[in-house]
Amino acid sequence: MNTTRTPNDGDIIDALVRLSRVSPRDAFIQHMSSSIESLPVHAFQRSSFLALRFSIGALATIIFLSVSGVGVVAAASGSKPGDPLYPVKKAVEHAQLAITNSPPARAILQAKIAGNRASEIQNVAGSQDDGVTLDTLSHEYEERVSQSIEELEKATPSRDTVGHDVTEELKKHEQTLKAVKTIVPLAHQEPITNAIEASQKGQEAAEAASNNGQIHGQSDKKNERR
Amino acid sequence: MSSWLDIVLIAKAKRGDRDAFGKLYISYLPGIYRYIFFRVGQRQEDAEDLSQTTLIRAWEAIGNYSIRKASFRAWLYTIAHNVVIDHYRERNRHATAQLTATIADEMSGGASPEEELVTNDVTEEVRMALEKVSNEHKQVVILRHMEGLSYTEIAQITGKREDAMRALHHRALLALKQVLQHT
Repeated sequence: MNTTRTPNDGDIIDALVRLSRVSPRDAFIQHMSSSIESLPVHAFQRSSFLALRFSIGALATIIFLSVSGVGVVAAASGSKPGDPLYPVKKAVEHAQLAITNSPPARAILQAKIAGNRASEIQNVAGSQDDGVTLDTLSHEYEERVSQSIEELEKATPSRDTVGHDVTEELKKHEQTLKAVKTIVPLAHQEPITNAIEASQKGQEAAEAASNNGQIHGQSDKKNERR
Repeated sequence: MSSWLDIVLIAKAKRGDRDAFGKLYISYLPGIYRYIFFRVGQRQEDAEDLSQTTLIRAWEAIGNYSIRKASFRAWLYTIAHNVVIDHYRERNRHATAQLTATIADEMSGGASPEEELVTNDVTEEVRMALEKVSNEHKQVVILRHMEGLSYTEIAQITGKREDAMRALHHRALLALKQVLQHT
């Protein structure tokens, strides 16, 4: 050692932080960027054919719902997984999405559909559920929140207001979910905790979006190192 | 916690948008590369190969990624962690001997980007000391101090408990100090 004293924890940590300056070669980064274009397409990716099938399905749903009347739709709105009218509720959601084109409206609609999942979590949590339904609903809730945020990105002119609306909607979900969590057995709390976290992340993202896309998380990085 | 931009890109990538996935991965590439570089004995060629393997595996698995289970950053490091483990399984027979030799070569060789950063003796000593502590000690200090990950994220990556990671981090610093004392 060239130092006159043995390095302490602070010296070692400082040295480790300095070592974080190691970075890949520019040529390698360029190589990686170009190799991304040649990544294979996977089965999970929705093809244009599937998108077309989805549109046709949505259209058929709209026709069916028009024929069956608003009474069925209204009755289905309060249904939960396992109820006979629950598929109608899901079909209505798909149809609404299919006919909603503007990103601001879709951002809010996705947040409201997420709210449906939060309400269903509330209804299912009071029944004799084995946890599987709660887990599925929680997963769907998270997906809807993510898609709401994605739509928010496209809502350039009205991102401020829409971001605010989405945040407020997600706050309501969080309150609902937190209330539900207090009444369910410990064994079934995990999916609810996950949904609460998804709601909180969504709120943070929506707030960031309404502040012109200010990105969180970077400033914390250096502090975490210490 | 994933940023707003990340959440948007993740949603797109999950639906097969390669450009979105590319932007995400490239933004994390320096950290992923660095983590792998220090895990594989500071060998640039291996770090580049394994960074590319991590890219492919992440793309294959992005459809199953869920933000509720881990941050995207922690998820990527988990894949890199598994890629490194697989790499060592394949090369287990000569890993240790080659590792020591490579460090010596790099220290005496030309100016690679990694060597240019060596601006002070303690940094250099710590860099060398990293290769003399156990893999789990090395991993926890790299993730914590070079990559700035939280103990929660480190626990997610390693599949261990958060309090165990705090204890391991303490022991890792102690181990590094002991190596430095005997240098």
